[in-house]
Amino acid sequence: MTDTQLIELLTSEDNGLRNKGFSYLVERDYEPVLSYVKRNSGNPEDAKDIFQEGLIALIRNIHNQSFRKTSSLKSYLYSICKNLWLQELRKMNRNTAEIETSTSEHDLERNLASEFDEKLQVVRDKFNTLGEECQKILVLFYYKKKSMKYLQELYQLGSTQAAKNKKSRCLKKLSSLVE
Amino acid sequence: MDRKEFEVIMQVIQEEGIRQELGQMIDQKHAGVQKTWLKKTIWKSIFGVALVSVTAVSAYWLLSKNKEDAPTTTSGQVIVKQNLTEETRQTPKSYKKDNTESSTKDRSDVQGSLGDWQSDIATKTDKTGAGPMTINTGKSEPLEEIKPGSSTPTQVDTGSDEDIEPSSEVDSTDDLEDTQVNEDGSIPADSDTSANTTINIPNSDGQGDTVASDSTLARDAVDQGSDEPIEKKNLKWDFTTGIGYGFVSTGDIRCLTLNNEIGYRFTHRLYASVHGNFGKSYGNGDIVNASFITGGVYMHCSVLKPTWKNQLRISAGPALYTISHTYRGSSNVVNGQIVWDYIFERRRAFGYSIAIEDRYAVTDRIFVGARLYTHQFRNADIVSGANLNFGYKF
Repeated sequence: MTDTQLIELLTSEDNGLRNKGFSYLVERDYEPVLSYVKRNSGNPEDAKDIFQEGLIALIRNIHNQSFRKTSSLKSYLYSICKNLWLQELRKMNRNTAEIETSTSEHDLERNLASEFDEKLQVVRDKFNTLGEECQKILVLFYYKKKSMKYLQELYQLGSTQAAKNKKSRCLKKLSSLVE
Repeated sequence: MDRKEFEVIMQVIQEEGIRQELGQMIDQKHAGVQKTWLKKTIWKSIFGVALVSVTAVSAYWLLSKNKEDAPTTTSGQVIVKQNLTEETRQTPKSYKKDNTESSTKDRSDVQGSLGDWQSDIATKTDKTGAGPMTINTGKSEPLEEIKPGSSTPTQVDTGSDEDIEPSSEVDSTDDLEDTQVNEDGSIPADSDTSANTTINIPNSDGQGDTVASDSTLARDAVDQGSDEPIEKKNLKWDFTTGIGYGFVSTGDIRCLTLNNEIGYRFTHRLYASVHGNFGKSYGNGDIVNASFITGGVYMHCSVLKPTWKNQLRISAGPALYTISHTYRGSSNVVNGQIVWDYIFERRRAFGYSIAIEDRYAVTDRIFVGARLYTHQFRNADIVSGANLNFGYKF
């Protein structure tokens, strides 16, 4: 699969196609990231988080058109993950002297810093303070495009209207937390 | 909630959705990685055991075959019946030194016959370790009758179909200094035949007059400052096997060699490996046959900046060496016959090895290479040669 095809899959509105892209990336690019994180004081859970964040950052950069097609998607994603892990290590005040230092090939640190919009970070933090149920409902409805009927059956609600109300309450709660 | 805020919230929800999807996929991948690791470990173990087994069997075969082939493994002697014009007795020589002119001439005369005998020697040599034997090539007149002696030499007439008989016809008495030989090669009637027909032969255990010798990461592998990856996969180990041609001992033994090596990559420029080199010679010059084994450790360093395709490296490390070989020792002329001593010798030595090798990647995993190497040992032996290598990274 070429990078162009992969980008099309990742930016697709169709969940199935997007998941196909994710699946391909996980299969192809996860192991090097896992290997790097493990070599630098991390564990598989850290690698999982870093890869998730790296892929999200990649998609955001594709949408922002800050991804330069001069480098391959694979090396770009890998570099993002490396930098994210370095940031993480710095946060944890670990000794970074022995950490394999990144090349400045993409100046990603700078890019990532600028792209991590403050507001986005605030919303993300607030989203995490939402209850698990609210998080799930919002993701199911807005990301996975599930219908109200599906939510009604999942949460055993009396009607689709009840499901709609539940979703609205969750969204309002998040909005109020952000404000 | 304004539109901008809504968009930000939607983006966060999207990210969360992606995170959830990826989380499941990565968990599955983790399980897959563990399974793959287990599989790889099992295969590596099987491969390692198989390699060690093949190495051990090869070494055993080479050494045991050498013993079987060696005519003087149990000490042996060949008498060539030939009319000579003068009485000669060749001074025992080292196999490393050139023979005298006459000896060389004599040897060249009988070279063809010797080749025929070698197989007979292997089968007909008295393997009890008793002592010398005499062989009549059938080219000349029958062997002179020899007086019985104290030891148990064997007389073999390859010109007839007679089997080897433990013989008491040969006396293992002292030396040939007093041998009387007429100009026509015959022995005077009054000469003491028993004193003229045997030569002390070194034993196979190295005592006696034997010449004693103490004798191939994903993108983390992107090279600094270069976009070209050195390794497309994170493959740390490699196995190399190679065949080649080499010069052993003082360089006078020419051998076909088989080299096996397991390497480990520390960095893109630094590697280590354990190697075993086997060689076998089927005879040339005074050497009847020889086989050797060297083993050791190499540290490899890429002198030039390595690339994915090509890697030039120099290697050095300690090495051990053991050689078993059979060669022609002294020759004597007795009653117009040339008698050859064959000496079996085994020696071991410690030394070092240096090599230069160029590797060329065929695929991510498979590579070929050419290596020039030389081992230098403390007993002044060398093993030098060239190998064509085939390798697999894992």
